[in-house]
Amino acid sequence: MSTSASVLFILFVATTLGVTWWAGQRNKSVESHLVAKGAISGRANGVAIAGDFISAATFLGTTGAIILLGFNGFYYAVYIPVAFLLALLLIAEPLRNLGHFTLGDVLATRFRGDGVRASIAMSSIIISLVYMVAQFVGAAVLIKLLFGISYFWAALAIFTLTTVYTIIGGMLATTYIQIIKTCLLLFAGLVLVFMVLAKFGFNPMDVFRRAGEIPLATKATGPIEGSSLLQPLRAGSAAQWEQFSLIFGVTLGVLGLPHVLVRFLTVKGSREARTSAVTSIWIFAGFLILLPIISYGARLLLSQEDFKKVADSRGNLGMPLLAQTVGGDFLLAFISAVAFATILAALSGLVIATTGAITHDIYGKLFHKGIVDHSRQLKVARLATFSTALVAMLIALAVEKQNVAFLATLAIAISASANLPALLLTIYWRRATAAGVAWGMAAGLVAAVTIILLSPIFNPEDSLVKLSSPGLISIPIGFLVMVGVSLASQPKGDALTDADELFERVRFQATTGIDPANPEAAPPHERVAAH
Amino acid sequence: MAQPPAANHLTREERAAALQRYYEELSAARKRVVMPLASITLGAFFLQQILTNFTPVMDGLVFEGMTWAYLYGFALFFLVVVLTMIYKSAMDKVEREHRPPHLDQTAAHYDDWRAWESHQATLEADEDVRDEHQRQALIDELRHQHEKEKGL
Repeated sequence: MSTSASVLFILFVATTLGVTWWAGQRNKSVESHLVAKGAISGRANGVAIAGDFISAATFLGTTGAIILLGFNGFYYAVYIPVAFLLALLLIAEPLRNLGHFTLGDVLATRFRGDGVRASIAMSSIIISLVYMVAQFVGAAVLIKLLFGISYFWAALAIFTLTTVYTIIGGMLATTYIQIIKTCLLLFAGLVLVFMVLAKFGFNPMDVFRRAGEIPLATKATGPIEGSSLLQPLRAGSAAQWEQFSLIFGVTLGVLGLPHVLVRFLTVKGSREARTSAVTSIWIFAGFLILLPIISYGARLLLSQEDFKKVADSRGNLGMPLLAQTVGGDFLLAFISAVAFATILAALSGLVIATTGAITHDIYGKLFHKGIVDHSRQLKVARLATFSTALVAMLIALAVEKQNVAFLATLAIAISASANLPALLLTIYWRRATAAGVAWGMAAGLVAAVTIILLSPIFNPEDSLVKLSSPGLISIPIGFLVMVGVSLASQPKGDALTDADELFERVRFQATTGIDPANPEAAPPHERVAAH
Repeated sequence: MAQPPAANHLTREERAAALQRYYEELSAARKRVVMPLASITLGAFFLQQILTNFTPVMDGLVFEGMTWAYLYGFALFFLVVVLTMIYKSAMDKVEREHRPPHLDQTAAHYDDWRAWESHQATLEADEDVRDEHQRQALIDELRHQHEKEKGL
């Protein structure tokens, strides 16, 4: 590691530990540990949400994909603001109005039994853990590449810092570290855009024009005559459906990802939740639209030798090597420090989301029926935080030699196939029943896992299912089973009247944030939320 | 420590009516705005996916250095920002015009959670005192009845 990299790295770690200490002074209850007591402002939360999704995968992976694949890499940038707009329109405000700590709270306002809460808690834990392992492995490999240390030490460093941030500082530290990282990342992106454009007379169209002269290439065909990096690459029917299924799955998957959705619970009310989503969308749109300039700049400015390194790293080294080319070792060190910050901030959010499901849904609500001592629950939350990070690290160490890139796809597919139908139908569909939601979630989860197991990922030669991204099949299965079982298990007589009344109450609370069953909600001495 | 805002003087029925009106206005605004915006978003996005992924219609150049595929992609970013602004302004307008003021005095809107918790603890203590009074009144009434029965 160079001296400048060491200084920047130490500076970042010291700053984040300072934030953690500050947050630790305020992290004295389960509410603060899991949702920062709802005290984050809408704007700040929006920046944190943007940070959650402009992760290393976007920052390094999407630029790398555009460098290697041209327009097809841009698909991974376009879907993000679209997905968050859908989240704003359909999920963010009802979620804030119904939820308190977790997604389980949202479903529990309508379905009183333990089954539905247990289903979404398990689904959230599985999604977050699988996503965390994927991030952990990718992060350790990246740190190994960037800083030249072994995989084991990289994983241990990530585990140690993530654990310190989350155990001591809880959601408050996680949010502010995410905000610091987002600002650093946006600054790094703007610096790179400026330095790239400086090489092309500050004319972005010149970058596009010259990139358009480079032909598309695949491993199988080599350069394709008459094609251009600015055109979509259609590499056969199977690849096209694969691409479509992947984008379909990730776009809808965002709307069910626990670590993204719990961020909407860290603000005071639906108005702030709306501001959060709007802020994040504006940041996404402003930042991601610049990625083609950075990526094509890299393609044009990198040496042949560096381009080979980018290809060997599946694109991940594109941004760091471009930084070195246009800004020398200092900019490389800065980009590496930002990448490190990105990884830690994203993992911390995932750890907190998993902790919420374990501590609140499983320990508090299912094991103790909501009657639980708060200081004891905080201890359990901290233990769950440590255990979650430890389990993720141990799995990441165990699968070091395996190709686990599919895990991120799997996590987001489960999110889209299990959590999303459950949330949407609970909030908007009168005829949804507890049995329908529980069975639909199970079906979505099992379908996503089964399709991955039968896909070319595990059977490259003779796969039963040709799609490696299960979304196109598993999402409809989740919705259909949920609708089918709900219709087959409709309540009758008085139970139907009760279910209708409960749905009206949920609609009222989802829209206004007030529980109409509590007529005392209006004056100050009565609570708004039903939890 | 910050004190809770002063309670307003609306009666419970007036507050309930204001809340119902607010719910109806919010629901109507969401119905009016959410479905069209979500449909436009999904339609525009998946149309781009289909046109670029399965057909060559977006392969051509709009002008040198810009394909239709990229132009559509960039236009989607602008579309998303515009739709976001439409939604935000529509919902903000309803809240500005119809949100009952007393809602801002409820727990979810407190800036200082410690103030809220302290206030809540005071109220709970008051409730305990009230419960104790009620319990004592019940005991007195039972004793009184018992004495009356004995007297009879």
